[in-house]
Amino acid sequence: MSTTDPMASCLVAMDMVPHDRRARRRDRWRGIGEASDEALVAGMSAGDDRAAEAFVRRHERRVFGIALAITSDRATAEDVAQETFVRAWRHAAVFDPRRAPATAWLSTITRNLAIDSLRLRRAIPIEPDDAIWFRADDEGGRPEARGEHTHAMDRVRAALRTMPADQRRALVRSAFYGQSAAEIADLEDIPLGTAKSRIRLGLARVRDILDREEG
Amino acid sequence: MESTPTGAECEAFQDDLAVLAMGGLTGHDRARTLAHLEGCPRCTARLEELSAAVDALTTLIPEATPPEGFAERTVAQFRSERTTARPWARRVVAVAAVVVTLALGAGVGEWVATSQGNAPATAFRAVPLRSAQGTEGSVVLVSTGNRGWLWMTVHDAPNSGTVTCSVLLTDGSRREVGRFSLAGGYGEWTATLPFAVTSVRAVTLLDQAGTRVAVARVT
Repeated sequence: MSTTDPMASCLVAMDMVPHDRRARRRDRWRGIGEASDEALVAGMSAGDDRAAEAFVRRHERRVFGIALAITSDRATAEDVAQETFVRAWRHAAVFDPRRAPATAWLSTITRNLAIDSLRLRRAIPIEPDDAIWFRADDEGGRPEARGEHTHAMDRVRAALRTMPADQRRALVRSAFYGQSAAEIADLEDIPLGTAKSRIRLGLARVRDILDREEG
Repeated sequence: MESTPTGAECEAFQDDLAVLAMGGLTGHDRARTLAHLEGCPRCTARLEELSAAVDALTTLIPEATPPEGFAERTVAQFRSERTTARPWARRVVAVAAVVVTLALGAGVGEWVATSQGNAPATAFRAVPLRSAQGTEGSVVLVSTGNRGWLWMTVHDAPNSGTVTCSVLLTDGSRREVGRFSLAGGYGEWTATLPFAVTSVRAVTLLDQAGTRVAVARVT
């Protein structure tokens, strides 16, 4: 295959460039900030630095926010965030947008890496910070600016506020500190079955709120 | 649409499904639950719903601005990823950028052959590695001249420790490729394959209990 720009050919062939942009191939990179996540990831898999940078800039606040909330340390959070994007870069070729959006993919990687770093640093907090969901972002507002799912997210937050505190603590411990049910049972001095029930009931409550939004 | 599994056997797994969705289920509980999921579409659907709930919780975390220059430093890290120490890997990576472009253009799931200059003809196949529990990764099968090898990367596996990698061949036989380490759910390794790479139908990862962690289906 000989082409002066495999990246452009690839994007056009995959139908990831909007029709009105195909005619303006020379200007295609003016609109890189408007390219879809799928297109940027395709660019990353072909080794394109511009697509990679646009992808990082688009998602860095989300990724760093998760890393910081879990690790509570800016330097560690930066390492976690950078490693998240490095893994996305490495695996861009097999990212499948039909299975999950890029934000969910990145968030999962960030969460897992942040939990790993807590364990490596032996830095898991004794008392879980269950205000993790109620803080505003660092521009002083709520993450509502993201637009989609605002209503559903408000209801999930309300459900978190009203659920029993021990369920909320169990959710934070499990989802964001990676603690097992056995560890939670030990730390909170409760039977293993109780720890599992709290996780189950808390998560079921969140799922039910989401279900009602869709239904 | 409510889809809570209601079978008596399913009820016993509901606690473990939630822990599994968080990525925290290990050992015998994990093996039992995965075995149940293999034969239960309702519980599998429930696990997907619970995983979506965990994703929703993650979405609620507020955003934060990283330190100045983060994007530039990160992209610089990508560039340094492209220069690898091992000579064979450098050759593979250099060709892979073009190959991946070709593979994407040709459609996922096809063998792509390319050759550069005096290098022997090389064939690649990139296949995603998946499991219902969210293990993700990739397998690249490489054939150069008369040598073949496998390059696997795993991320987001819900377990760590030793895993066994085995392949299913077109003649129905299974061969163990090797044993490797996952740390924190992540791992990356290469292995030479003492049989024709094109005879590989699937690549499987098994944990220490012999439970299937993830599969990459080639055909």
